[in-house]
Amino acid sequence: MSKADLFPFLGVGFSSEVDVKDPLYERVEAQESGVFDYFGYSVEYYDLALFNENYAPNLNRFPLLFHTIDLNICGDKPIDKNIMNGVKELALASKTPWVTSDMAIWRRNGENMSASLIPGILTREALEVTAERVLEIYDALPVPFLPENAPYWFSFGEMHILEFMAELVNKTDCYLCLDIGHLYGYQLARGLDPLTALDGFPMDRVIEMHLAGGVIWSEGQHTVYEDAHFAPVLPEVWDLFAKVAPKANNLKAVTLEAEGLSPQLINSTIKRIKQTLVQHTNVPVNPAKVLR
Amino acid sequence: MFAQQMKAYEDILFNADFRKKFIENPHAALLEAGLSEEEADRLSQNINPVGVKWDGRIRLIRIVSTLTHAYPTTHLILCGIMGEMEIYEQYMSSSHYTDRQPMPHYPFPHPGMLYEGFYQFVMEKIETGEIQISFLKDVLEYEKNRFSYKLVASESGGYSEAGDGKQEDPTDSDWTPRVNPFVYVHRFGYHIEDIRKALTRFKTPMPYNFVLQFVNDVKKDTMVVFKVENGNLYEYNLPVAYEEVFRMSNGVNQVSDIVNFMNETMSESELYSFLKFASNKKLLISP
Repeated sequence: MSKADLFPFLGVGFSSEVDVKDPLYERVEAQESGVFDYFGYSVEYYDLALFNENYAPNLNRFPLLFHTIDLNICGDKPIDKNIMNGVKELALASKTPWVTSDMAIWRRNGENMSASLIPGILTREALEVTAERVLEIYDALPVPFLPENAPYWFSFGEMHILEFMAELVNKTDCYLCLDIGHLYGYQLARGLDPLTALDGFPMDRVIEMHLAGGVIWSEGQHTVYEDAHFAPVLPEVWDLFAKVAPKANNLKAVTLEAEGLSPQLINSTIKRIKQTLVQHTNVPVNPAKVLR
Repeated sequence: MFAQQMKAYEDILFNADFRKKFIENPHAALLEAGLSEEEADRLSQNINPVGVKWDGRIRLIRIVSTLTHAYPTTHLILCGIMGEMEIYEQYMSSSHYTDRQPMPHYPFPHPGMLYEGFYQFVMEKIETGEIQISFLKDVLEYEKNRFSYKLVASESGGYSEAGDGKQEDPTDSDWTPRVNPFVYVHRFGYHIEDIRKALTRFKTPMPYNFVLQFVNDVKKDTMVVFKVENGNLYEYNLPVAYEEVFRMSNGVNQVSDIVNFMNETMSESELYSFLKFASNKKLLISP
């Protein structure tokens, strides 16, 4: 039995902000019940009250998966203890099996930078700092912490993001969350083939994948991919997902990031994810709820 | 070494002059930032200048998007007299923008400072006469109060929206916000029509009364946006309607509503075509 076997299988879910007066998961269920397997949520570290109001009542209905947006994994300042404690409380309250976060600079001079997510530097020196932070988070949280590749429009550093993550695994023994759209965007920004650097990348460490809609902007001969959670998943990203998912033999969850998507599109996209997994992988998806 | 790399990285992201130098000659700019020759070699390896330019633009759009959540009608009015991005570029290079102020010692300053700074920026333009719209001040005040970061504590100890009780003082040692404004505004279900109704209480002339009419049985090629301006009804059909919709869309809620509507009425290929159209025209402001 490997350590990866200790991660529970969740299936395919979606994440979104939720208005307690009109919860999206209710509308998704009303549109077609039983399609999503879990719900992913993000709450800021000090907002246990919001969690209790919006999410806690659902603890017995479906699993909750916590994506934190506060831990400064790639910044040059130490992680604030209050923030760490807040994230820990939220993880405990939600019974999340693990916590994910983009490898990014979430705070700068006290500012929360979530509105303009800043990806980390990709140098050997930055790797050392990030590894220290990941170990610190791992020690502090009650459940495993999975670093995720952030979105990049340009890359600052000599390392490829996948090389950086592979080295991070070597240094920390961590498991990973791989965002397929972010990866596609990174390769595009560097003018690389979407599959570049996947050989040698420890795909067996990928426990969760993220999929989301996107928009491709063009200027001259250069194109940039931007995550757009309210838009459908782009064909290029579906293609990359179908090629990458079969390599992830310990995949336990695929999250559709769905802020702004209609219930109908959420359900059809989740079904298509399940269909892709059934076709291309051994991931034990319930075949009753796939897109046909 | 890491600290110097981070300093250079932040300069690329947040200092427009340095970013320009970096795009023109990455190696020279990094040397100027105090990095060694070896580091400058390494760090200028994978640079795509167009990507750096886009990074700056996307960050600007995201900040504008955040701001317009809080000041949607102010934004509409300003759009009528200035270029859409020009006003925000002016704001972000003004003394009122967050980065140019000393950060306060209370937590979660960024969105509150961003909103407050924008309020001060527009108010200054009104008071100096640079903007001469008599009722803009009322609209601005209304929106500041409506979306203020100053959540108020009720007597029972719970929290409610600003505007119905005493103002909260973030410097007060007892101050404990329940949600921060970015999350708060993001989550808030907001519609132009709601604010139009609310604004009528001010008895001020409205320069723009917008009605988005999403008729249930409408098909893609007959989607219509009505715009009521100075008492006249204007009707736009595609693709003019798309431009109007996205010019009017002041945040994630409206964009989401529109895209949801399109999701329900368009095929995926039609939606892709639309998104491409909107992206190329730089009309799309993402959440």
